[in-house]
Amino acid sequence: MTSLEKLENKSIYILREAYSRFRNIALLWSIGKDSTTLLWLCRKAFFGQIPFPVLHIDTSYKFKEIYRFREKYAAAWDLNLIVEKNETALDQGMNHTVGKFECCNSLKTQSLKQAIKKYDFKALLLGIRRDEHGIRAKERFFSPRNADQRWNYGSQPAELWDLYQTRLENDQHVRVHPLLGWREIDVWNYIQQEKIPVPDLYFATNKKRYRSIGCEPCCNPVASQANSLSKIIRELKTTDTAERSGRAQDKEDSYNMQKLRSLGYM
Amino acid sequence: MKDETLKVAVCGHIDHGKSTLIGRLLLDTKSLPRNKLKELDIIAKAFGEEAQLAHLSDQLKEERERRITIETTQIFFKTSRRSYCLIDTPGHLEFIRNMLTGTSQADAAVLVVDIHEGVQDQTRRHAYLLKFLSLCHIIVVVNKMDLAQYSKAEFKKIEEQILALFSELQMKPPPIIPAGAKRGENISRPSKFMSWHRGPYLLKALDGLTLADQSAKPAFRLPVQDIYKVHGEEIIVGKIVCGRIREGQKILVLPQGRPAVIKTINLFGKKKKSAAVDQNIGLTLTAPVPIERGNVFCEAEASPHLPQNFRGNIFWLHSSELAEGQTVELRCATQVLRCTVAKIMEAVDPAHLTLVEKNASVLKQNQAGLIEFTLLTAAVLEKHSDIPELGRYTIETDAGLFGAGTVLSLTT
Repeated sequence: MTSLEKLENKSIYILREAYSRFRNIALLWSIGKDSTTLLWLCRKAFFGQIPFPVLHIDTSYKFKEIYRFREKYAAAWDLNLIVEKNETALDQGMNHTVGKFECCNSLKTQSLKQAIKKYDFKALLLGIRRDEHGIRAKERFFSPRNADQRWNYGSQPAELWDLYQTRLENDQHVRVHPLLGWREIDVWNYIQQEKIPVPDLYFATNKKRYRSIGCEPCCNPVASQANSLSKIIRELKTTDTAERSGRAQDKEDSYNMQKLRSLGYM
Repeated sequence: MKDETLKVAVCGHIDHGKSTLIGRLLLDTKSLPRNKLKELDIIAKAFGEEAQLAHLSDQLKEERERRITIETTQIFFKTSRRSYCLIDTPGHLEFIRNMLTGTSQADAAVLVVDIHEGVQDQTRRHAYLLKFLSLCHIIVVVNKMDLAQYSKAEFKKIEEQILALFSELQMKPPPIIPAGAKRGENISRPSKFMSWHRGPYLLKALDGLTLADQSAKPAFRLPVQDIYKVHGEEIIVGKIVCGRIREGQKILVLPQGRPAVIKTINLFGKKKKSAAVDQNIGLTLTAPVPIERGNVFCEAEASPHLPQNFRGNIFWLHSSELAEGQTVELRCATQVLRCTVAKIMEAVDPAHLTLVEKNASVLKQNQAGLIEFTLLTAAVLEKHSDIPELGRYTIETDAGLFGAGTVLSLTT
């Protein structure tokens, strides 16, 4: 097996395990390269027809390209798409100028809470990876959250071999991370191998491209000439800047991500 | 470079320098993004000290303040030989579950020992757990040699302790490397201060490890994970844990022992004539047979005998005791089985490698034990050394994971 085949097989085992143990699950699709790769893996794992909803947490501040991409592939792949927004906060004028931490927490984490409650999801599939961020490196493949979604990183349960913990106490749900062991370059190699469509924002125009995409006001492009998959892969082999360096929230405070994540952020 | 990623757990006693060693490997292999180095500077200033290499993996606020590792972390780097995934594991007893979590995913381990402190409780416990998890590739690093003026005589003393520990555990003697992670001596290059050391430096020793090929094993086994209905057809999914399967092959569905024949093999939507170990496949059968999660598909001509009893080792994580006569629920691959603890043959304190009690009545938290189980459920079990996936188990209750272990021998 090649290393990509190994990663693919392990992720698909985890996806099937999550579905087998919980049934009432959803895939969290941010439309970025990682969650789109995860979506692709789901289509493979379940033989073309994903048997659970695909959930998009919409802050309403995403790039236009993201919305276009979402509609196109939701139709093409026959997805059961759920779009969730924190309407109350949006009505009250929540946006990044109020404070990035407040905005992320309110428009992303709170919307997610809202959706979990509304649909009674027992598990959520997320495309986070260990190499993205030091705090995400501390995650488990199956990570339990209480009703407040709090991540108790100080006392995570043991996770041995591939015998993942799936018993839940009342009101708990599990965050499942099938891509945890993938690196950024693995994701791009896989996208190239499988010909997975991703938003054009990742490809350079005018010597700039996005390495990580989310809300338009909080993402900055990086200087890059990479306008094709092979060029992105070549660029990653030589770069010494971090993947999320274009993301605003990480910079504000070294422990911001830890704080956000402990409150239920992805 | 080979297309492979070796997963290496870094273990050892508190403060012997595990996280610093990881920081050093990342720095020397140029695996750090520019802003990471800047962030380290900012953080080090906040804590009023020099930039510490340990902060690279100790990312949690509590970890940096308490200057310890709490949670296991995985970090990547590569050499000209292959890619590595380093798993940092905590040294404190209270975080032993995190150490087990990290190490159960590893192919190899680096055990770090401080030149001044030598073999300590957590060194013993970790060495014991490496044996318990059947990790056979272990490299020992004797760290902080700079504090001992790179003295060969000092090193020899510690080396003796380490060899004694491994011999006590009946493990093969590991390569032992004198090193200084803080200054990078004998980590990614040979040290000019320790030219007396004949063996390789750490990265060279890591690059020299070769993993056993798992694909040559016989006898097809596939624990059933789930059953899907796709376009009116029942597809049975699972991961092949041993051997190969081909279209038309006769199998037995255990534990019931029902015969069946493979009609099609589907790998992620593509039809295949055959499939092999580690592939997650979908199968259809030529005639309907009742199947559920936890069944194990076995090659008809080489199906195993179902055990009545088995002997297994166990590491007990929970504060409640495991008692003789108790009935427990085991998870092994996709099977859930009930067993009775017939006998606790040995209770061992892994920190001191002392036998607490022969024929003990209970096993306490953080003790390891040798247990005779009587099976109440028919199930497929194999020796861990034969088929790991069918030879390892966790013990769970509604309150979570209580213990874990491996199968040493079976009686049918």
